[in-house]
Amino acid sequence: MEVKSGEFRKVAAATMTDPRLQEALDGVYTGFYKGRIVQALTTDRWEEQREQGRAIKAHVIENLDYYLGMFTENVEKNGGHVYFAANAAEAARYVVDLAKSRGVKTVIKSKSMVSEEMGLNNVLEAAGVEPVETDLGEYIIQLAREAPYHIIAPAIHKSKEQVADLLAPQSGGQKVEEIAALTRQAREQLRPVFQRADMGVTGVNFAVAESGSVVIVTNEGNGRMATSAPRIHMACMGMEKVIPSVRDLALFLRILIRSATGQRISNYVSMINGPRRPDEHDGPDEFHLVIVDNGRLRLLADPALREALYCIRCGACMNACPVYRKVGGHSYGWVYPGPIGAVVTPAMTGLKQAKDLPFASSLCGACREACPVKIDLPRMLLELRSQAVEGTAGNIKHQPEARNPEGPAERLVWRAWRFGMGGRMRFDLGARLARVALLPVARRGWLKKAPGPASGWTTSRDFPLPAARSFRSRFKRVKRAAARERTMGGGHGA
Amino acid sequence: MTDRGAFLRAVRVVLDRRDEAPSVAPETGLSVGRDELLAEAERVRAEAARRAGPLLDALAESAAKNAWKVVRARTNEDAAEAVAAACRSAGAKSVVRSDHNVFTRSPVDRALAATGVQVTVLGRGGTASDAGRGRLKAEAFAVDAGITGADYAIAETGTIALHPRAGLSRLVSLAPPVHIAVVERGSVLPSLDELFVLERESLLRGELPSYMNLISGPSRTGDIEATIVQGIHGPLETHLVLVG
Amino acid sequence: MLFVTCLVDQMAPQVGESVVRVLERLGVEVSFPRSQTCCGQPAFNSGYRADARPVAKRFLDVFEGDDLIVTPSGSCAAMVRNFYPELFHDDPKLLARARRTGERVWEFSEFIVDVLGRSDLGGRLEGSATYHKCCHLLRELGVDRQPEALLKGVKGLELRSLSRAEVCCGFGGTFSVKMADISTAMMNEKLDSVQATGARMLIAGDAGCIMHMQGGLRRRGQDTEVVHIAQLLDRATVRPTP
Repeated sequence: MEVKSGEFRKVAAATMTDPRLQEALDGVYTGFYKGRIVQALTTDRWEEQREQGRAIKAHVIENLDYYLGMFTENVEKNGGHVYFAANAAEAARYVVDLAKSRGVKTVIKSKSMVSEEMGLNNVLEAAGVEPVETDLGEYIIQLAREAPYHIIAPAIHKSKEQVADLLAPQSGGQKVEEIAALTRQAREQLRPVFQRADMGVTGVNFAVAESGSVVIVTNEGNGRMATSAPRIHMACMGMEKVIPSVRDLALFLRILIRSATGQRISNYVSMINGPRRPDEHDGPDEFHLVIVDNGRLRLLADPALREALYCIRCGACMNACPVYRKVGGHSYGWVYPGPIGAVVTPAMTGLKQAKDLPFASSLCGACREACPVKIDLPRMLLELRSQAVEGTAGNIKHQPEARNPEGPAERLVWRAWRFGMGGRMRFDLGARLARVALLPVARRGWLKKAPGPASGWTTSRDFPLPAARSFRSRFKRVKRAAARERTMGGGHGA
Repeated sequence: MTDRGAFLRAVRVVLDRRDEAPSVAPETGLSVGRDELLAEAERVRAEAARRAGPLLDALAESAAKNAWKVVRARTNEDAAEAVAAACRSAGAKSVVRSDHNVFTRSPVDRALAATGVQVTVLGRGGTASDAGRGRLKAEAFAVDAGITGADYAIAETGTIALHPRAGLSRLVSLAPPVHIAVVERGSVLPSLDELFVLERESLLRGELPSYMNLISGPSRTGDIEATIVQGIHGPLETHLVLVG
Repeated sequence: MLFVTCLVDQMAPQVGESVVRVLERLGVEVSFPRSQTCCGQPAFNSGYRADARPVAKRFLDVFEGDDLIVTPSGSCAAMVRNFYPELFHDDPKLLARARRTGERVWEFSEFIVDVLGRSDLGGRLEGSATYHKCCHLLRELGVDRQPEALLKGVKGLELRSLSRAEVCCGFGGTFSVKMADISTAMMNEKLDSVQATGARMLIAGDAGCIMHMQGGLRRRGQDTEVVHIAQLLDRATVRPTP
């Protein structure tokens, strides 16, 4: 998918002035966010499971080559074919080549974020193969020719009227209004497609190393359709999706699903161990798997960013993020929005385009609190900020094009700040001078318009004048008074 | 296409690892050895048998929460009647049923025939051939209801587990607008943890099936204005007949 | 030792005064190392670690010793406790000093409840108030039950529950200026919640968040008074001088 993260500010501004979008985004708080909290409070040993999930993920990522190797061997033992793609273009090419070589005319797709990285639908269309998204949200945005707004609920930004307009042409212009009827309409439109599709392309929620299993989690049944009806199943996964053992699935399914939607379990969980057996009545004749890098190696290579690969793509971080709930999914400009998007987009696609993303956060920490595997997203945002500004951080420089985004002016400001904080007298003097300079434009101690870089503040807030007398100049007096209070019999209570 | 060796080598280099197996972290199920796991599986089966009654009750409750239409049947005959009644209430006139071994105990065909419902049984008429598979697919999308057993059920989540194999398909529980599943007492496990112990046991015994479906109710979506709607691509309604 | 913070020192000295008064009333001998300036957080949060480091090192020098350090800011306490190790990870000597100092740093409400063991200060203040949970205090330090206990201990104070109290107010340091429109949108949601409580006072634990919410309330024409928890406790425990 094309990277449009450079338009972050513009798209964010437009989103924040759209009342309908704001209403849809607010629904994320009352729905998914609250749902996760209820599950967290009512699930036995929730915190322990988060810790355990994180520990397992950390172990896999630290030994990723080993587990990928084990997984691949087992997929092949099960009769599947595995391909490694260094980048999205290579992955897309593999899928298309296979489709063409097998005479595939129609591909049904179940949700796959990696396939969005690949821009797979465009590539298939260009090659004369018909791709049809079957997850209702993905189907809607495919018809709208838009990027997903949220990784779990891609069409969360669309009103039912907009959905009605998008679905009508597929039913010969027949427009329905209510949500249940629209859902039924989508079912009717896609049912024949399920039947005629030659290939199903899915994502992978979990790849189990010891069994070569691919696990898919859905509610609608389209994931099951894509892996049961067509003659070929093609799964696409980021290389980080591996977990070691079948046994671990219980824990990961629990923490993924409860964190994502607040359900106890998703309606369907499918565990695929290769193509169908010879004596089976349905199922694909062939199973193919593409394992994709596409910049993940860069995350792996940076110890400060490596834990971004623990992500199990639940969406809890964006549900919890007060910034996401204002700016929406399209602002982030690529496949992954919200806090995880703000980390992986610059790391995987480059800091140049995505330079605003790590700064679009108040570092409130709600994302880390929500993450089922306790990824320390705020720390990684801070790390990326330092890389954006200083070019290197710690020992690893992985972004040769990283450069101070605001230019020399900002650097000077922080040099001056550092000087000012370097001694108590200059610190105090600086504040005294600022007060004197601002006094003429202040009214009763407040400014309606702050100068220079601080002017953004006063677009919506009054800015206070520095105090007439700093605390340090008052300390002695306060201390004396407090001592007097004590000798006179102490304070009111205390 | 990138060479697999090169891909994995690049990962190894970045991790500064040698090409050898790491010591396994205790947190993962991989750290449990074969003997220990087989013993655990025995315990799981023993518990499922010992607590069969309460687990079935717990399943009834959790399944109802997931919008399964739950019916309790005391005997195999009652179960057959319940299946027929479910078909009747759903207006189902044509059904496909899997050849799960529960139907050797529960005379479902007889009960359905008595109410004039046309039954196709999976596995009869050579469906394990390309032509047969094509016929089954067309039929699964055309019939009014699909009837299956369940290999296991999970009380924690209101779920049934099905493993497609000879006599049991993927589409019968998916394509028809109505799915009726019969769960026998003694097949209910407390939670996902026990289920995956048994799945791992199958793996270690070299008996892992090609597919497993966990089904927890009728298909649903919340993709339009975050409003949950029951019934989209999978069955619109699901019935659970609990026997025993 | 009182670490009053750069913001309180120059912009909200009355908060510092309240801290001194409350602690002295509790029998604590408060000292104020006059050389103190800033913990370095603004530069660190903006990615300028090279500029943050010398300022942070200076903090370690100024606050060297054995005395406990108390600060009326969750974000500054978190900077020292949680982020100094990150800032100094390359320098073993400074890292060790940073860790030792971090162990001595306490946020104000945390100090009173967990170190002094007090939550009922015998205070009294009539009026309605609502409490906003500042993010670094809540999530970096894990401090929530302490301010709650302290506020519950004030007789006559009608504490009204703030809807979405745990959601960020939108300050976020330089975020408030760098991403001013997003900061404003978050602020408005917060202040709408505050307004909905009808409370006369809004209480919070960090001067930066307070400045941001107070500035917004003024601009919106809302007359809710915003106070730091130290000021609230000061008012509640003051004895009128004869």
